[in-house]
Amino acid sequence: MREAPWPPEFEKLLRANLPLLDADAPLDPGLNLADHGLDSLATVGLLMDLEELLGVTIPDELLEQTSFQDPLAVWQLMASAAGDGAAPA
Amino acid sequence: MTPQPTAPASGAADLAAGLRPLFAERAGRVDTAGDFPADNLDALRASGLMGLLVPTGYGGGGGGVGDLAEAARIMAGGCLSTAMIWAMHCQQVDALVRHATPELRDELLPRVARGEVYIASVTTEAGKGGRLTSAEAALEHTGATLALHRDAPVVTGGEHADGYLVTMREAPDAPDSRVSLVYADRDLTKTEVYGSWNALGMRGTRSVGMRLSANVPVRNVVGGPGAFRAVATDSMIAVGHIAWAACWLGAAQSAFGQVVSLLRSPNRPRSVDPRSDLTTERLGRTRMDLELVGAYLHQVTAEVARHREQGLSIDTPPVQIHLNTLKVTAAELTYAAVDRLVQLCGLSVGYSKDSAVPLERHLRDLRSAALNYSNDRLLTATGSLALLDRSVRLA
Ligand SMILES: Cc1cc2nc3c(=O)[nH]c(=O)nc-3n(C[C@H](O)[C@H](O)[C@H](O)COP(=O)(O)OP(=O)(O)OC[C@H]3O[C@@H](n4cnc5c(N)ncnc54)[C@H](O)[C@@H]3O)c2cc1C
Repeated sequence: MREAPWPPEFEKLLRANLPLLDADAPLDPGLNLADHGLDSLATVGLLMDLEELLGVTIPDELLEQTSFQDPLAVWQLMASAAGDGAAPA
Repeated sequence: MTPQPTAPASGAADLAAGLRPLFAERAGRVDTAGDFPADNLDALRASGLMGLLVPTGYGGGGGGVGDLAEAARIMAGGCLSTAMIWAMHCQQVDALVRHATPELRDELLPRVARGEVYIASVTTEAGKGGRLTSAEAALEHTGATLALHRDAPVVTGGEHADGYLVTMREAPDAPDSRVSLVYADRDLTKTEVYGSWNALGMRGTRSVGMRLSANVPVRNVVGGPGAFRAVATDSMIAVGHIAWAACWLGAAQSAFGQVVSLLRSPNRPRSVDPRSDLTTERLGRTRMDLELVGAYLHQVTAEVARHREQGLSIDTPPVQIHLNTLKVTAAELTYAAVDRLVQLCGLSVGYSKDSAVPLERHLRDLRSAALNYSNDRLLTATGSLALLDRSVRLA
């Protein structure tokens, strides 16, 4: 099985905000998060949880409508805030 | 009624001002009987204002949100129910103009421009209440058409509409966040009215409960399957909040004007002394509330117009915050303004149904403002969005 680009804690937080995703279904990088229960207001709580977990701060300017469309977009958003495009610490 | 496809954008305010005395004359009867103002709707159809937001290429007025707000404010000074009926129709039209398929636009917009099609809104659903961007009842794909069966507990003008814009779950197996907006023409829809609209205020809107059944062509999906959220943020919420705020302001402004005229006349209630500090303080506060709503309405309307002209998205935290603030603030301050006028005028003028100034009707009507899309929902949304805007970009 291909390894996910993100740590298990990231996946755990994301899944906690996806009430419509089965626990045993894979978290595909292109999964449509809105369709799996992440509504626009829940993204705010998720964002704050992720910032705390990864020790990053996302500048408001980086937030776009597409920032939370799928796990990969969320992970890349976190990575970009870590500075050099590499994965956050 | 002879619909006239006029091009009213530049003259929308004048047309509205022309209709206002007629609306004012009928407003008391509409309220008491709880009747839909069918005569007023006919006058609106004939005026060309039903097509205000339809582009000129389709025979419409080519108006923008500024024209809409101004005409709504003026007409609401005559009859708030009528102005809201018109404002909500325009909200549906804007969604069609910006998001309908080319086929649906070609078919429908010229008819709207001619005043032939009054469109009602169906978003509220029994199980989910007001939650706008979710839906329970699902569209069923049956070959080339979509079967729609919808229970709609609150439909303004539902009995009189010529078409409905309805939110539906995209498909039976889709999550309730996948909402499609579909247009159903009255001629092709089976409608059954249930319940009455025996409400505290806004009685002329006849916002009845209905069951709708239709088979609609796939081209009637507005904004793409499951993509209602984008239509709502780009069009329906923005235009709704602007037009509703304008309506509420117009009603409160007209009430205030009537009270001021009364105080300046020999008929003023003997108990109210226009020179007393108590009276002038209340007048001062009420005027200030109206000033604030008027200025903020102007500001946010211009912000949306500017974004539209420049092709920029309004789905950003600051703009959505401004739109929510407009709606909540207008609802609170216009109601507070009329409430204060009741206190200022006292029992006979302020509270009586036979008063020369219909303050009690305005009070009942404006009480709906905080409920007509719940202020509570908007306040919590605004608070969440505020966390995404650390630089606090004010309107
Ligand atoms: C005059 C008028 C005309 C209308 N016309 C139409 C129409 O043509 N078509 C149509 O579809 N609908 C129409 N509506 C309905 C309207 O759009 C709302 O759906 C309805 O007013 C909401 O009703 P509700 O008070 O039960 O609130 P809901 O939004 O259902 O909420 C119920 C209660 O829960 C609270 N609440 C819910 N969620 C939250 C939250 N997230 N945060 C805080 N509090 C929350 C609310 O404050 C409220 O007390 C109309 C309403 C009015 C008053």
